[in-house]
Amino acid sequence: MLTCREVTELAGDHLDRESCTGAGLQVQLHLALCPPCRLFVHQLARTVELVRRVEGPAPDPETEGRLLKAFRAAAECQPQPLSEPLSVMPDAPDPSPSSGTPIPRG
Amino acid sequence: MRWQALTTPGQAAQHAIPINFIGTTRVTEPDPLLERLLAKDETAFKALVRRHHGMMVSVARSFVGSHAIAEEVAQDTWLAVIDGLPRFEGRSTLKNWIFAILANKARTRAEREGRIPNFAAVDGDPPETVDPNGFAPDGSWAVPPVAWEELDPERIVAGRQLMAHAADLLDGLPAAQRSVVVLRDFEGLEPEDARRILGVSEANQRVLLHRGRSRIRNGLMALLARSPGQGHNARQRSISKKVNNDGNAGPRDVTLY
Repeated sequence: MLTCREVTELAGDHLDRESCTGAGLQVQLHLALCPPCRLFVHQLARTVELVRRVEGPAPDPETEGRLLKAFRAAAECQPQPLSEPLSVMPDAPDPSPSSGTPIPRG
Repeated sequence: MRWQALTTPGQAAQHAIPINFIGTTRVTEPDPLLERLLAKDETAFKALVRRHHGMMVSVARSFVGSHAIAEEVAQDTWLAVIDGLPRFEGRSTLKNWIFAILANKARTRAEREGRIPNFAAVDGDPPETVDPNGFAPDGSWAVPPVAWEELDPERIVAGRQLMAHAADLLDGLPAAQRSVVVLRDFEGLEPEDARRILGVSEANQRVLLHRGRSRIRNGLMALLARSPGQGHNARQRSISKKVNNDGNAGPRDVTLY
């Protein structure tokens, strides 16, 4: 039978239902008999729930404003390609010599 | 400068963006959010940006050398999303698609920086999920976990919402762990989709995810243990309440450590 220490290492797979045979069944058997390990798995599950509800850091207002402007411009100009709407952005900052390197595309 | 750079003629054609990126998540129903975006609903776009931008920067940070560059990568990704939306066929979820674009761009940027993102690395991280001192030599619990009270995300702990603490713990994870936890637990991506986006093996993803979650759980445990009336103090507080309810003298908000 698995030890509690081993179960804590396998608890994530158990949580994600990624291990339904072999070790997974052993984890289930252990959990049925071990309240502290059941508590550990429960806490891990609550942690995941909490992370799911976390609020990510919001973009700063300037960034958000620029992105919205780009969205608006693209919406007005579609179906033309992106380069058109962005080029007509009235407040697009001028590239400085040190920072004008184009961003490589993925 | 980022905006101007994007207007360079011909760049759009050079995209290696997986416009038709197909995740393992089967899209069987129309996505109302996608429909609103295609209808040029600015409110929907703003909500999308607010929900995902911070986490996109966080994931990009796993690839590139600085927060500033990660921020550029995220903004660049949004512009590509705006550009690609009309051609997005909805064969993967919107989130899968956005993060696939992000990872592509971050990887390209990392290559330019001479960086090699390493999602296999768990350097400096103890191999055990729980402090080995918490176990007896036979592997049973020497210091078993103590029950938490119900984890209401809006509960105030140490002067802040529990959810804010969780956000800090997430942000403080090692980069590779953070990216996996963000994609799997915050964004809710399927394991195979997250694995492909990050370019990480299945085994490494499982390890990184479990260690990341465990670190956050351990951080919450430490936080709740320090907080009056929670963690291992909960039982003591209930005893204290009982004493008060029985009419005996004693402060209601007594803190027992």
